[in-house]
Amino acid sequence: MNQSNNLIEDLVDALRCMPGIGKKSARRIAYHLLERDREGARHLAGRLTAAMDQIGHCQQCRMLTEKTICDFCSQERRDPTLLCVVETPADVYAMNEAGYKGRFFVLMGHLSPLDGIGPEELGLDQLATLLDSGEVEEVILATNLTVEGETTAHFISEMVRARDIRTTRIAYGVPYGGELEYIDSSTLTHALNGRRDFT
Amino acid sequence: MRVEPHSCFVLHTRAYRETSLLIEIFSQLHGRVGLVGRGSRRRQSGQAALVQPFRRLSIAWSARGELGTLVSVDAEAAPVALTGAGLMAGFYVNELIMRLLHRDEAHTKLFDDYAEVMLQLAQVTSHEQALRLFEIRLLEAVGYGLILDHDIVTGTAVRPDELYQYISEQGPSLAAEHMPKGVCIHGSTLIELAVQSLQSEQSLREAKLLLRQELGRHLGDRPLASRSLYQAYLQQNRSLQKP
Repeated sequence: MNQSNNLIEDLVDALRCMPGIGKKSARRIAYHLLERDREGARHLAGRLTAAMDQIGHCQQCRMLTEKTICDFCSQERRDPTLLCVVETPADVYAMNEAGYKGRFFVLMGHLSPLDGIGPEELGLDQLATLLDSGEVEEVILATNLTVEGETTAHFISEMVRARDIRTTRIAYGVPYGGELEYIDSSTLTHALNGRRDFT
Repeated sequence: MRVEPHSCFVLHTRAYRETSLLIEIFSQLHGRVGLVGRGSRRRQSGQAALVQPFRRLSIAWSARGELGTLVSVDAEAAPVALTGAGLMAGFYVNELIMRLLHRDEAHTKLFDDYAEVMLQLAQVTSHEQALRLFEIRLLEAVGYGLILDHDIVTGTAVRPDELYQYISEQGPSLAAEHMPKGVCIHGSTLIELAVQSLQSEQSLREAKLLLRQELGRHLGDRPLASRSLYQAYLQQNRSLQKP
């Protein structure tokens, strides 16, 4: 990062590293903090430093955490026989909000050979160790609904099947409250292929 | 310059800024083209579901400078239903195109070959033959077609029961008895490659070695990431099928 000899401009530039923050918003934030909330800004600076220095990955599921084993893995009430494989930490919270009660494995990405991301980068050896521990009875593949996400799901499903563990893939199709007329054809194709008996 | 909607395949996409995509496409009329999809990742754009590899799309863009700007994208066909090894093979084909074609060089015939190989990867369980034939056509398209019909030393037609040595950049000649150079390959395999129908395990194996040698010359030192992924996948699959 370039440092000018103007602290305000440096601050504006630094703020722009955040998603959704362009030059204008960065300037607004900088002036707001300087004029109205220096205390809040000091607190934020401290929290940022602490978080950046201390947060790493859970040794079991690769979730972001400052502990060796994250809360999701250590909570007793979570079902250890269910393992949900997701792409990002944000997906963990989304699945958790959806009422999922098992454990997680966070890939921190998806297989994307053209970007040079292969099985090693996703920590699949770590996943293999977890599967070999014998506790898991079902693996739920909740990778994104993109070609790369599907590829990742197929790759992992082979790993899981080799160990005689049940594999499932989250269902996909019409979103809740969706009207068929307005749904894109790819989604509808998937919904049609994944139809099930209705009773 | 505005490019009107026509058949294209997406080869690869990469997130760009907050909501945009960098898209690499294979166009029927313009070959490999790089585009920026402004706002393509926004849900309201409705493009995220469409701008995916392995689906025949109708794409329009405006060309200015090195990267064009995506104007519209529509589905031309349902997505090619690739699963498992088919997906891995699909990425391999895309990586070959990305590495071997220059941008903005039209390859209309190769585009049809590409569409065909995608359908085959979805339909058949053994992808080897489809991949080999595509590789041959790809080499031909970029100007490095293989000599398959005659011995480059004697000039005589290739005979099925002879063993040949295929030296890179040159072609096949009768294999030296001691220390043959290049890839050793039976005449029958060369003939089968020429008529685009590989019949036996032996021909498939020899064709693979030959094409790996020839592609390798143009791919440079950087290994193909999709090839190692494909191999890792097949290895798992094989360990699964063992009794």
